[in-house]
Amino acid sequence: MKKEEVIAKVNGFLVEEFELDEARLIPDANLRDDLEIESLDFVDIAVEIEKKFGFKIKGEEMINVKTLGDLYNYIILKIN
Amino acid sequence: MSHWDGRSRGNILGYKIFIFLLKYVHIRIAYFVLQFVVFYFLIFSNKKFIFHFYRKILKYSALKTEFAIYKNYLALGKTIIDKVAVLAGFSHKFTYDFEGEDYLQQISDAGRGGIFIGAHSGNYEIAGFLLKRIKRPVHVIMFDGERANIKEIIENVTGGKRFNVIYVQPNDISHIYQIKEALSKGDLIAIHGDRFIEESKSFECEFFGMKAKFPLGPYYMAAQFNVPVSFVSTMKETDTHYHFYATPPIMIEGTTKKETIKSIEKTAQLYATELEKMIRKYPLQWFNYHDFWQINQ
Repeated sequence: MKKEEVIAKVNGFLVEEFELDEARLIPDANLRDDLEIESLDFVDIAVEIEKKFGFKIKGEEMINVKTLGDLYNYIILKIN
Repeated sequence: MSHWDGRSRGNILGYKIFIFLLKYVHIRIAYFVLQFVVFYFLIFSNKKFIFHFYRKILKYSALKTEFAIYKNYLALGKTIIDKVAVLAGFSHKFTYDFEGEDYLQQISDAGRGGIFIGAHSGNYEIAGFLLKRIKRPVHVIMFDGERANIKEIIENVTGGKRFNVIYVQPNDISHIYQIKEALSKGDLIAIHGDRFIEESKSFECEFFGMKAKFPLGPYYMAAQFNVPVSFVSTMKETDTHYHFYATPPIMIEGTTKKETIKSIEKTAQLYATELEKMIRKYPLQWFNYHDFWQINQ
């Protein structure tokens, strides 16, 4: 899957589920501070990533995922 | 504010002294020494909220309230000593009754994971230890503020890991993924259902006839990860006897997000009702000393 497809899927989900303005979805955006995603929202994100990309998330791998760009890169790394 | 800052009291030296007494003397001597510690806390601790609990919520007389606070501190101290004793390998010094253990076995046998919800009442950590009987890894969720106490006690004082711990740290969400990973392997999660930190989602439940905030996290995870929840308690009945309770498993379901949220809130209320029932039965084992009913607001 190409990076653009990953970004489109992730952004589509964030817009739909959390009603985020697409203009805010830049790679440098911090998931918690800038996008104001609360800790329990990450439960939805985890479920959605598994559904959309077909892999299981490991806790220790997510420690360094702080920004939206980190999340794109993590998914790309896992699916390729 | 009814939220909790994630820290628990006590220090390692104190625990070491009690372990020494347990190892080389007798648990009753440890309890005897404990009375002096309790007097210290009785004089110097902030008793405002526990006073409110006995005097205003349970409507005890003034004198009965004072005695109840003393007995409550003593009960807390004893459960801490017992916890350390059990984790240090002295579980044979206690006897246990099990009620509803078969429900937990059902959850375990289904192999899809499950969440056990407990409270700061009775002895939560002993519950974690007793859950070993159901032959599936149990991961106990603890706030990072408890790390200094519990982790050091378990790993340094008692000499090794007794159960898996997943720490919740402020501004970090990795625990969510660790919980998900554990559940996806069919493991079990034990989590507190009576405290939340400020940033987390909560719901106002009816509790002892008043509104009190309860965390939604445990139920939200159960709903999204499609696993059952069971409410568990381990209550101290005598110096050396505990009674373990577990309720039938509940699946939190909904066909739409709105319905799921309703179901989550309903389950939080079920838990509050169950906890109230337990606390009415064991009123001296209510160990929340913060502004649970938000009387300051």
